[in-house]
Formats: sequence, C-alpha cells, structure tokens
Amino acid sequence: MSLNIATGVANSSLGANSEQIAVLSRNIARAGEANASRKTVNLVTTGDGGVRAASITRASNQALFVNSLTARSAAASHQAITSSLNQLERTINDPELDASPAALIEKLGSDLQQYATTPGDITVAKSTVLTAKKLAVSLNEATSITQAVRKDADAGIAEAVTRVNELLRQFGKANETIVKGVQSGADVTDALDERDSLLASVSELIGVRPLNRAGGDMALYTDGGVTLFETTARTVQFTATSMFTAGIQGGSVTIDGVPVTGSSAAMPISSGKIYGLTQVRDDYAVSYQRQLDETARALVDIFRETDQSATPLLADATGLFTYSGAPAIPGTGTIVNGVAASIAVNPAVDPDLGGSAKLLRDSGVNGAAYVYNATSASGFSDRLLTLSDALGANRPFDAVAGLETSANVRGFSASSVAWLSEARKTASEDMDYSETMMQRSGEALSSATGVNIDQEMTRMLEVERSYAASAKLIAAIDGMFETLLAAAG
Amino acid sequence: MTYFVSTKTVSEASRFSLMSLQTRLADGQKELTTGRLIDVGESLGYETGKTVSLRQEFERLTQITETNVLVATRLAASQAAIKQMAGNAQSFLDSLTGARESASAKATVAAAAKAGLAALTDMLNTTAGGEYVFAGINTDMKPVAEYVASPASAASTSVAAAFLAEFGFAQSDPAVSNISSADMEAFLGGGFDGLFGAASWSADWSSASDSNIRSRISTYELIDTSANANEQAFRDLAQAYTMVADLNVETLNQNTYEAVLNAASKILGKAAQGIGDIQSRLGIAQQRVSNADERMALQVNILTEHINGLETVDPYEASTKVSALITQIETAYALTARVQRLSLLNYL
Repeated sequence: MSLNIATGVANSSLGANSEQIAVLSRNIARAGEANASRKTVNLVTTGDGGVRAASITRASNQALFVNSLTARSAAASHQAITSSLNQLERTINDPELDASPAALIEKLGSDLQQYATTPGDITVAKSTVLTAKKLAVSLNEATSITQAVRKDADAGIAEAVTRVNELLRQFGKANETIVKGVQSGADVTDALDERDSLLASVSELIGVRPLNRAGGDMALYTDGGVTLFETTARTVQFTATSMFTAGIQGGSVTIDGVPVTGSSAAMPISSGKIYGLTQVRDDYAVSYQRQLDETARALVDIFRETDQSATPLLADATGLFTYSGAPAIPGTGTIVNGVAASIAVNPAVDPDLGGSAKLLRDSGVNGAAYVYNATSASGFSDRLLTLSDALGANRPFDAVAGLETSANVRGFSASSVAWLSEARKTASEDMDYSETMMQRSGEALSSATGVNIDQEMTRMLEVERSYAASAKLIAAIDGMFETLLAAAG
Repeated sequence: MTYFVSTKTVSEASRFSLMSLQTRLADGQKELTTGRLIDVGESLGYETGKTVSLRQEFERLTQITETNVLVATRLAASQAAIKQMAGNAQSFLDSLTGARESASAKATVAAAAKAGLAALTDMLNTTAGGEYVFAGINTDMKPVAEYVASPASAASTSVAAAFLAEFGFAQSDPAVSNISSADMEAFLGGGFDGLFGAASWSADWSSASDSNIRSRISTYELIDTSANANEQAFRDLAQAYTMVADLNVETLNQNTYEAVLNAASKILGKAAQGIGDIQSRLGIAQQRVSNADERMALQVNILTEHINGLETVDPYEASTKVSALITQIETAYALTARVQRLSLLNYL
C-alpha cells in the first residue's frame, strides 16, 4: 500500500465529511419547518478503502404520517361544523337576552295575558302587536342567518374544491420529480418532504389515504375509497348554488364524475373540511330551518280565524300572522318550506301600516263573518284567552324537523334551542378532541422524523473531529513525503 | 434505547399548551366577573332547552302576577262601592221606618231616596284603571245614566209613561192624592215592577253587559272577576229608591204612602240579601287571586333558583379555577424561558 493511496483515503474522508456537514446544515436550517424531516448521509466504503457519501435518506414513519393525516382531516371537518354552528347560535344568543324566537313566543303569550286582562287598553293592544312583529322578524332573521350559513358553507366547498385541484396538480409534479429522481438515483428527500406537505394540505380539505407504490410513486384515495390521484390527478368538481332558501338542495362534489358527497354518493367522504361544510349545508342548517318553519307554521295556525256565522260556510283563514300562502291555513302536522321566511304580522292588524291593533281582540281580519266580538264590547277577552291557551296547547309537528311530533309551540321552540345547543356542545367537544389528536399525532410524527438541533450539533462535533483527523493525516503523510524527499535528496 | 424528540416538538408543545391555558383564563375571568357561564348554550348543551323553558315559565308567572294586581284592584274597587251601596241602603231602610208616622217626614224621605238613587248611580259608575268596573265586558261604557237629568233620562221617561198609563194622569198631578193603597200596590207590583225586569233595565237604565269580565289568575285558573250593573240586587236597589223618589210621595194620602214605604222596605230587604251574595262572590274571587299570587310567588322563587343553578357558576369554584390557571401559566412561562435557554450551543 502506498502513501498515495493513504492520501486518497484521507481525501475521500474529507469529501464525505463536507457532504455530511452540508446535510447537517440543511437539517439545522429546516429545524423550524413543520414538515421537514431529518436527513442522514449513508457512507459506503470504496474499493480502495476510502469512504464516499452514497446516498441521503430521510427519517420517515408511514404509520405516524397516515395517523397525522387522519387527525388533520377530522379536526378540519369539526372546525368547519363548529364555526358554522356558532353562526347559527346568533339566532338564540344568551338565554338572558330573551332574543330567541322561543323567548319572543313567551313574550307574546305574556302580552296576550296582559291584553286579556285589559282588553279595552289600546296601548296594550299595540304593544302586543309589536311583540308579534318582533317574533315574526326574529323568525325571518333566523331564516336568513340559517340560509346565509348554508350559502357560506356552499361557497366554502367551492373554494376547497378549487384548492384541492391545485394541490393535486402540485402533488403530481412533486410525485413525478420523485419517480424520475428514484430512477436516476438523485437526492429526492426534499421532494419527498414537499410531497408530504402537499398531502397534509389536501388532507385538511378532504379525507385522504396515501398508498406507496414501487419506484417512489404514490397513489391517493379518498377516505371513502374513490381514486383521487393515480399517476395523474383526477378532477374534483363542484357547482356552487347561487341562492339558498328553505328546501333548496346544494350540489354535490364529484371526483371523475362520481359523487362523493350527498345522498347519491355510493362511496362518500367522511372527513375533511369539505365533509364538514357539507354536513352543515345539508344536515344541521336544514334541520334547524325545518324547526324554524314548523314554529312559524304553528304560529300561523294558532292565530287562524274561523267563520263565526250561525252556519259557517267560509274556510278558516290566517289571522294575526300571515305568510306567503295566506289566507289559506297550512296543513296540520306537515312541514311547509319557507313559512319562517315569509311570516309577518297581517297589515290589517299592524298599526304602523295603518291597521287596527284591536283586530287582535275582535278578529275579522278576513271580513265581517270572522268577527268574534259581535258587539264590539271593549272588555271582550274570550278570543284573547283562547289564543293565549292555544299557545300552550299540544299540536302536531312534522317529524322531519327532528324534534317532538306533539308539543306546544313554546315547548317546541325551546326544544329547538336545546337541539342547537346540544349540537354545538357536541361539535365543540369533538373539535377539542380532534385538535388535541392532531396536535399529538403531529408531535409524534415530528419527534420521529424531525430535527433535534442538539443532536445535529453533536454530530457536527463528530464530523469536525473526523475532518480534523483526516486533515492531520494528510499533514502527516505530507511530512512523511518530506522526510522521504529529504532522505532521497 | 434513547428517545428521540425534535426541537420543534419541544417548542411547539409549550406554545400549544400556553395558548389553551390563556383561552381558559380569559373565559374563567369573564365567568368570575359576570357570575354566569361564559357560553350558556355550549356549556349546557341540550339542557339549554330547560333553561329556556324555565325562563318561559318564569315570564308567564311574572306576567300573571302583574295582571293579578289589576284584577285585585278592580275587585277591591267593586267591593268598596258595593259596601257603600249596602250602607246607604241600610240607612235608607232605617229612615223609612222612622218616617212612617209623621206626615212632615214625607218630603225628607223623598229627598233621601233621590240622594240614595244618585249615590247608587254614582257607585255603579265606579271606575278602576280607566274602566267601569260594573259594566261587564262593556268596560268603556258608563253603565248607568243619571236618573234626574235634562233632557229627561230614558228611565224617568219610562216611569212617567207607566204611571200615566196606570192612573191616567202624571205624577205631578194633584189627583195623585186620590190613588188608593190597593191601586198603588197593584201598580208597584205590576207596571212599575216590570220596568226593572232584565229587558227593560237593559233598555232604559243600563249599558252594561251581562257577561262579567273573566280573568286568568294563574296558569290554569280562569274566573269571573267582576259584578255587573244588571245584577238583580242592583236593580232592586234602584227600584226601591225610584218608587220613593219619583212617585210624588209628598202628595200621596197616608195609606198609599205607607203602602209605598212597605213595598220599598220589602224590596230593600231582598236587595240586601242579593248584595251580600255578590259581596261573598267577589270576596271568593279576591281570595283566589291572593292564593294564586302566593302560589306563583313560591313557584317564581323555585324557578329563579333553578335558572341560577343552571346558568350561573359557583364564585368560589370560578375563583379557584382562575388562580390555579394563573399559577399554571406562570409555571409554563418559566418553563418556556428555561427550555429556550437550554441549548448545546451555550456549552460549546
């Protein structure tokens, strides 16, 4: 073995050391990045006894990675649901404020009681009608809030779909780089990091299952099993609905033409932001709207007027409360979409619109045949007492509203508040749980694959020493040559 | 085996826990100052329906208690007026007994009867809170018009017409002294009595409605809470006063005069009984109102307790929670500072 070979070995060590230092610097530089993984240099011994940096590997843990993707999807869907339900909560507010339809129904009941005690007092009549107006407006507002929530969710889905397509396109690029890199033996670790990071972003929008394939290739499937990416990105499509009213259904998200949300989906997605928003748009907000519509329908029904003639011939007609289908009374126990949106106090009773508040006591909004107080007695309270009782009487409600099917309107509206609050509580607890899960799985992944600066520093010391030793070796060999040349000279 | 942990995990962990601690601290502080749950709906879940129902119940009971004040006022005003009517009737009856023998007392008795009739009209027109309490449900109509008025009231016109039809001359005619006691008794028991029957009364005397005011005095009690001017007892009183006041008793001969006084006394006796009935009926209503109020006051207390139990936070618990959180956050700060200082760089 010649000194020349020794120099070569020492030289190769210097080269390997520089390579290691370069990788260490890369590690340290990216220590703060969420998806950065730890890279290490694999050294191999060369035929002449030297070393060489053969390849760079990155720390990865497929199980933890998939875990963290699942947790991300779940957290994103729960976040979407919670924030939408919090918007719906504006229709109730703090029970102390008595601003919910439930509280206003009770206020109307109280006003009727007051009015029944002093039926001749026009001020009380007017304030009762005013409460009725507030109640109608609160139902109108609750409807517009609910439909706005649906519209927002729909727009959110459209945005998420656009983003998914863009992410899948980038994913395709990264994937191509990796496949080519693996074939040519290039360092693909940074591309792998990028692909993982894109995948994490996709998983926030739509539940996704990655599948590693030969040659570094990766295929993506939704959590429902529909192919999202295989060699090329599949097209995710969605058409936003321009206007929402009660009873209007939104469009569904399709991947390559296969629906993955909505009732027609055979393999529906079950997590991610798109899933959460779909739940809000098609489930929570729809049920809540039905409850509002049923409440409004019950109110229209309660205040109906009946023909008071000796032989009644005319059909019952809407009284204090009117709606888009007036004067016909909506059918019993069957939902009518949109009543809460159109419910209003009959202009004939509304003093602000030139009506007479006294019609509440006497009735007859629909003509003389419907007048209950035939003698116009100012102390006539029978009608008011009947109405006040009717607010507390059980009546049928449509089962599609998801609440009791027989209840009084006070109880029904209170149940609606309970339903929404319970949904919020559950969603918020789910969100807390899934966020903690996401945090923990992220930590676990980061611990397994991330960078520890202290460790890198220690490694750096090692490399430094090794570099110094190699340099020393070269100096020693140089000294030996010198001695040899001096002896020869 | 060494456990590996990335630098990012170490710093992220403290950041995440600090964030959640601070959110909880903000909520805790607000709960401590307001004494109520930070977000009632989210904290109670389905139980929010319960607090909404309780608040509904609370509102209903409070409202009924408030309207019961009006009802009680009306009943008290009615009772006071009726008591006065009964007192007046009694003293009029007393004066009738004393005036029987003396011819000079005739004018006094007639004057007392006129005053009594005016007072009765006045009492029947009692108002409470801007409503006529004896008007039945016609609360905005004065129930009884003044008997002596110009132009002549419908009631006095009818009496004059009945008198003329019976005897062929008016009350002011000197010929009234010739009316025999038997004829007068026939008139008082026939044509004159007919003027105070329900139908004639409503036509000539009263604008009140026969329907009494009905009030809801508790969640399930709906009762009559007024008497109306059309009640038999009131009609009897008016009848007794009118026969002495408007039949020109000063001019009647002694026998006929006594026959009028006898008839008046008899009717007054009957009226006194009827008045007593009305008084006890209204008294029972008053009793029921006050019982209902007591009951509802108890219920309102219980409801308030329940609502508070659901919506409020225990101040001691909230305060302990806040101090514990502060300690935790301080520890977390100290820990973060130390962890940040902890780097191999410092030792190389």
